[in-house]
Amino acid sequence: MSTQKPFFSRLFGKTDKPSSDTAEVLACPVSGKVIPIEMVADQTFSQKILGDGLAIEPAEGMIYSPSDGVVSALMDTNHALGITSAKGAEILIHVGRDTVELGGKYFTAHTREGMAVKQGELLLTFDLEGIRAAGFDTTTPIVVSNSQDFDMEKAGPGAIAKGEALLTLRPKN
Amino acid sequence: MKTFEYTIKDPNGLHARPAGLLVQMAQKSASTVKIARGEKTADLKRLFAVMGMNIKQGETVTVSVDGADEEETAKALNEFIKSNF
Repeated sequence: MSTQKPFFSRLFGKTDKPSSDTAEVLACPVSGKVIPIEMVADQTFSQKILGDGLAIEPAEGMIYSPSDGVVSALMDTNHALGITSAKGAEILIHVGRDTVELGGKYFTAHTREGMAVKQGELLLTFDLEGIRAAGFDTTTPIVVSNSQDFDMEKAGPGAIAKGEALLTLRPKN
Repeated sequence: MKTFEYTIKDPNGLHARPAGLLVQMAQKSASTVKIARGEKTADLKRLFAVMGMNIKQGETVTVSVDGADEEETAKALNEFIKSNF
């Protein structure tokens, strides 16, 4: 019986392939422009030390949850947070470069560590113009810190709206 | 098991970016690596666990390394932490 294929595979006579229902689509957390992670000025991100993903140059100061999951890390300065998705992806969103130095100024959290969140739920707001005026790069990397566990499909460069597919993850066997 | 203590001097504490480098270094070790502050302990191989500690300037952390390469790992981590935090 162990060789028996799942119902739909039997029905449609397909071979065993990773089915799309094991994939997880991470929604873009903020409208803006997609930038390849390799192009981010911060080497920690461009060299994928914190994981693979993409960056967004935000057009507005709002971060929405890319997936259903739990807020597993929220920096006290509210400039970076981590979401563990329902399917186990650890998603790090880091608003701007060196923005830890702002000590929380311009950032407001709308969630708490340990809270369950839904895809599209508002997590952070920030004063985009204020941060830029203070001399900070606002490019926002969105990386999966355990990206080694997944095959990743990325949105192409260019304009993107919040909620659109940003990263598609398929667990590796 | 090897342990060492360190008091964070970086005004930004142990924040996301350098914490990522530290975690990456810990992940290369075959040993179990933990970071503790007071009652709270985190797996130093997991970025989210470390970030979630929100370790700040002036706080003292204890790093413990337990396993086959504990000697080298503790030495490398100690040097990295001293020069980055």
